[in-house]
Amino acid sequence: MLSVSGISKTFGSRGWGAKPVKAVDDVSFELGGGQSLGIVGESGSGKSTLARVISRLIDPSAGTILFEGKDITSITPAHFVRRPERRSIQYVFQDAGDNLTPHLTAFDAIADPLRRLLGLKDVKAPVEALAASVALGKSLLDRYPHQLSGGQKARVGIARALASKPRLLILDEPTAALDVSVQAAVLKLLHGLRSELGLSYLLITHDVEVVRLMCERVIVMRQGRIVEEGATADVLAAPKTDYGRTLMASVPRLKPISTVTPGLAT
Amino acid sequence: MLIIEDLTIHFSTRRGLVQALDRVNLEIAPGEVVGLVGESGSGKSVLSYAISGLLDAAAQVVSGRIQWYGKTIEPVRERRATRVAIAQIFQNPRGSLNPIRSVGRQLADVAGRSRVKSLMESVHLDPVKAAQYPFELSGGQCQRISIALALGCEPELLIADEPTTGLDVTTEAAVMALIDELSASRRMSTLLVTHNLALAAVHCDRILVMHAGQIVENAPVEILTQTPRHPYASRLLAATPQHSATAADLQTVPGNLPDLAGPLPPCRFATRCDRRQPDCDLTTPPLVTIAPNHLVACRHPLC
Repeated sequence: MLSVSGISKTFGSRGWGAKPVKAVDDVSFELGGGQSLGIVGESGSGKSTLARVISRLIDPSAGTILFEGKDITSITPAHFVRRPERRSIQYVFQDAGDNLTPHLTAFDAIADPLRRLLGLKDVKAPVEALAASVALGKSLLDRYPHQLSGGQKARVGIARALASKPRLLILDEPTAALDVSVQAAVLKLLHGLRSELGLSYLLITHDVEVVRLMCERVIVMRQGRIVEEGATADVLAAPKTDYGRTLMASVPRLKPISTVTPGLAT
Repeated sequence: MLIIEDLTIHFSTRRGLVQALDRVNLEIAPGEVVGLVGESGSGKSVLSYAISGLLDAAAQVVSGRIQWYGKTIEPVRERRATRVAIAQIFQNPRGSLNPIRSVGRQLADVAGRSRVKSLMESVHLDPVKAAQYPFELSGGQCQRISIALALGCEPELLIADEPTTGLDVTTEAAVMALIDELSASRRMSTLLVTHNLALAAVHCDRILVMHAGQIVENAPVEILTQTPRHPYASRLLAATPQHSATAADLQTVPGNLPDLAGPLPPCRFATRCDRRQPDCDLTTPPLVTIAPNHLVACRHPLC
């Protein structure tokens, strides 16, 4: 479904004597239909840049992206907005609170992609159906983002991304800003939607536990490169690289759990 | 030594009187790391602001007091006279730094120029970044600067309000190791406010669970994470991702926090509780000792 090969992204230098930054360096991977792939790594490892390249918000410096067999690399970000692929690849941004337009109600935020990407005129019924699919009460649709809680804003962000019936969702830290109970609810929702709608997920996070619950495969990135790749259970239980081991050992744990070797738990 | 007795704080707002804290009792001994956990909106930040003396004038101290080595200190900013060696790490790192001074200068202000390099290294930041301004750094890097600022003043009590939210696990581990080390070597007391129970479990000696402005359980960390007695503490623990094998098994805490501006039931957790009995609706359950060092505010605790 999604095939990424040799993607690199170098950001030009700004300012006196600054050097160009190679944010993503020769990254390749495959994502099948209905699969879920996690990308973990520390901040600055190039996770979000990679996601922005794949969703064609920015241009890669090198490499190709095939989406359902079609090369989407050569389409510029300005043109991609009007392409049918835009509907199929949707992005759920980090911290929904900052990424909802403050002067649009929840209803209009969800209706916006329906009007713009699908050209629908009568959006009332589909908006209500989308709100129901993310368990967002009808009474909340008239509210503005500042009147919604963190979990409700996250649900609006997800409903908005689902509006154009995408086949690939790029989730950038979907639960980082949420507390533990709301995080559980949102993860459950995302998990249910995937099997219900047959979506593929590319999930970017630094929370290894979220990857364990949500993804079959995982990529570990460091300094723009893939340092480790494999089935989630294998990578989490027995990382092959020193960096992978450091990463897994840094995760605070309540008690040993089955997918993790007891030696790493505290 | 910090002792809080019966602290009740209300806020007058346009929506009415918000009962943000209700008879909060806690003690933090020198060198002790105490975790404060609970959902968003449960009053964790209000309590940490009260200890730091950063509450604004809308806060009314209805009852109780905060004592620091026997001296009473004021929770409201305008009225705090005594200077106390308390430092706070704030939730919003970018907003808490001065935008028009380089981060190195801000560190030099609190710790002196000679310590800037070592402070930055202690939070895993390259010292060349000292010349940069907050807007040039990422959120995680700003977070680390604010941690270095708080630790640079060598506080006797550190209030760390979600100090590692937004940091990746490797940096989180480094920052927490630094806090652990300062607690041990300089007998610094720490109040770690977080909703990450696993983080609290690894680094704290004791955990306080807060729900709707009340402390509902106060127990040593092994007891709280293995056999919590308050139904809310147990629900919160069950909601952590590590307690589920798959995403489908994830448990959520049922219901929502009650509206603190409205009339509140005697037990503020009752409407969300599956162990509710008729006597739960009579009087507020007091925080009582049910085992050595273990306090619970529930009429029908789990066993």
